[in-house]
Amino acid sequence: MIKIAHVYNNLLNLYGSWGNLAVLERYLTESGYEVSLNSFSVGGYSNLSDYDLIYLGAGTESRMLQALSDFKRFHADIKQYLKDDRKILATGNSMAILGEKVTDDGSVYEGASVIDISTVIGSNRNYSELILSSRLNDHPVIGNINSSITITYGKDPVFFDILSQSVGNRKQEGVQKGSIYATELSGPLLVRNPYLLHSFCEVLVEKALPMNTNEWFATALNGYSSSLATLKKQLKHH
Amino acid sequence: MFLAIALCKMLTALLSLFGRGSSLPGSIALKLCPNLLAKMKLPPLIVAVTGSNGKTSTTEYVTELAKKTQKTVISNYQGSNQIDGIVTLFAKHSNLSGRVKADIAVIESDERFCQYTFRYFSPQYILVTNLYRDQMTRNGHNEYVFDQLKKGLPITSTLILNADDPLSAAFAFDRDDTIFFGIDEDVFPGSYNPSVCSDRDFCPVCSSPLRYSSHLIYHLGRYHCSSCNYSRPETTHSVSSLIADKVVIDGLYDIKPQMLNCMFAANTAAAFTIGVEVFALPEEVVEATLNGYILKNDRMKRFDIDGHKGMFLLSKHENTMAYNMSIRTIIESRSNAKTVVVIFDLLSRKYIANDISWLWDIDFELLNNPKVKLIILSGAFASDLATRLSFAGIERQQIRIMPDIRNMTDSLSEIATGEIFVMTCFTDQKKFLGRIKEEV
Repeated sequence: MIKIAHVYNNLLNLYGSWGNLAVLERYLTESGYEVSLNSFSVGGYSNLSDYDLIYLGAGTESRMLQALSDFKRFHADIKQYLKDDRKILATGNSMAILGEKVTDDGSVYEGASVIDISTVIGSNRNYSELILSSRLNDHPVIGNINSSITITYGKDPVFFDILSQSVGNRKQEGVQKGSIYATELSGPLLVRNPYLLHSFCEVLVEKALPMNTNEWFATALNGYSSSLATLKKQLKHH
Repeated sequence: MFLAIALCKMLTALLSLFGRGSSLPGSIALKLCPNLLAKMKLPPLIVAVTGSNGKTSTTEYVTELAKKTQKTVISNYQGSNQIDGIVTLFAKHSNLSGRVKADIAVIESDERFCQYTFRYFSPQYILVTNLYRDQMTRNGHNEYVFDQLKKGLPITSTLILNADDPLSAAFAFDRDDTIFFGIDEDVFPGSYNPSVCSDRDFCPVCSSPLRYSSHLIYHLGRYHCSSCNYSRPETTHSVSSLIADKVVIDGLYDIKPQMLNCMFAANTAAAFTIGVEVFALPEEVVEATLNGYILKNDRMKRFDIDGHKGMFLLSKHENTMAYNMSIRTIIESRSNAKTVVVIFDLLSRKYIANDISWLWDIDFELLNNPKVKLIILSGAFASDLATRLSFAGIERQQIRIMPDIRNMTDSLSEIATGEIFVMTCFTDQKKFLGRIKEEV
């Protein structure tokens, strides 16, 4: 059984983050695994060692800080959780919760310090569309960043190399350190990128899986191919 | 100022010949004279309408009510709602010395642009309809819009707020004379759906858990925070019940809105409040003006496609409420067999934006209904729509994926079962409406 926890599901639920869990649950189930999907939020009881994957989605800045504050109670447990090689996936601004610190309007908040990043919450929004490459497979990844944070990366290995983007000139994005997969890309990233979904499921079950052959997956692949072609064209003329 | 107004007037007249020009003339005028709005002599009464949903409809209602005062009224409800569009409106109706020849201006304002427009003048009244998830690629999220809009609400303006919306009602903090409108408890008993997206769990003031004694829709309802005591304020005017196809305001005034749903009901209550409290019209006059009023800016059109009847529902992409209201209209319509067409081809003509995340905030689950016989998905994002619908419990054999809108439209009458309902946005509507015959 693969046990997944959607952490702060009622705080960090912007930009269709829940789609990532829906698609993970379906893919793993169709690959022959039993999946349990639970959620807990501020003050809710949970034992991290009950889970194989912890998922954090995107939230507003105030809700992300609220989650960050509550997550302090797991700071000791999360290190043991990672030592046991259990996985974390964070998308959108929630990756800040895993970092060293978050600065907002002069106030500094302590993060879980399991990845080497520092985050500053700003007043301007950033929206950018990107094509990236990951170390999980050879297929380009499409995604967007929609946030008002600026992340300073330390020495941790990156999750993605940026191939092209609509705004900015960054080269790298996210952190893939041990069993932590953290990215500022938001939205239903694993829905939009079926190959990434497949590879991430392989990471979770720690073995190679046959590619899903069901119709919904073929449809998702069509959506991916079409979006990738459109974005490539748009960014070429950009 | 003289030159800016003269040029603005000329361009407005010229571009109107081509059915365009609500923002460009104002934009050029602002380049010549950036503080033009501060220099002009504006109407003695300005009422502004802003918020995520219902701005245009409510502005039109309010404009009709303003006309009942027998005073000269101007409005931008058919034009641009950003600062340049508002400059165009005022310049068009002013003399060359900048005196606007109107007694009342009813202005629709983009919620993020209030801070720029109202830097130069303060409307006496500002109505905020609501704050929902809307255009996330541009707006980020509704708390961000709250922060931006807050900068654009002059302290001298009297606010008229939706009591049921805990987020926008929080604009009343630090103000004494706010007026509230709303919908009473249990008026729309079936409207609430525990949606896939939620902004209702935490108090917008202190972030403690927000409790509801009843829900209207999304985060709207009767809320109370036990930590800071923030709760739904009392309303001055509200929808108290429904009778047949009418909403009843304050238990006395029966008004038939164009569509009977909680969005239209809230817009009606908002307009009623302005009619009575701002324009000092007798309630009966407000009732008679709003009752059965058909919006010129109609976002619902009837069409005929090779003898097959259908309804087009303009639904703003990236706006959860707009799509959900359209879906509810479809589900609640009387026909026993329905074909639903969703077209998603383009998000923005200006920016690179291919975001699909908003599809995951919409309650497509409601289309999982025995009367919905077929769902056709069209446009460049047809496959993304199909993937989303596959997680809404809708059977694959109920879905046709037809990315080419032209081919879909041409074969629609052959494929469709029962009444056809088409949902799409401004950016994509012509790709469909341009090929069919609208009914007058």
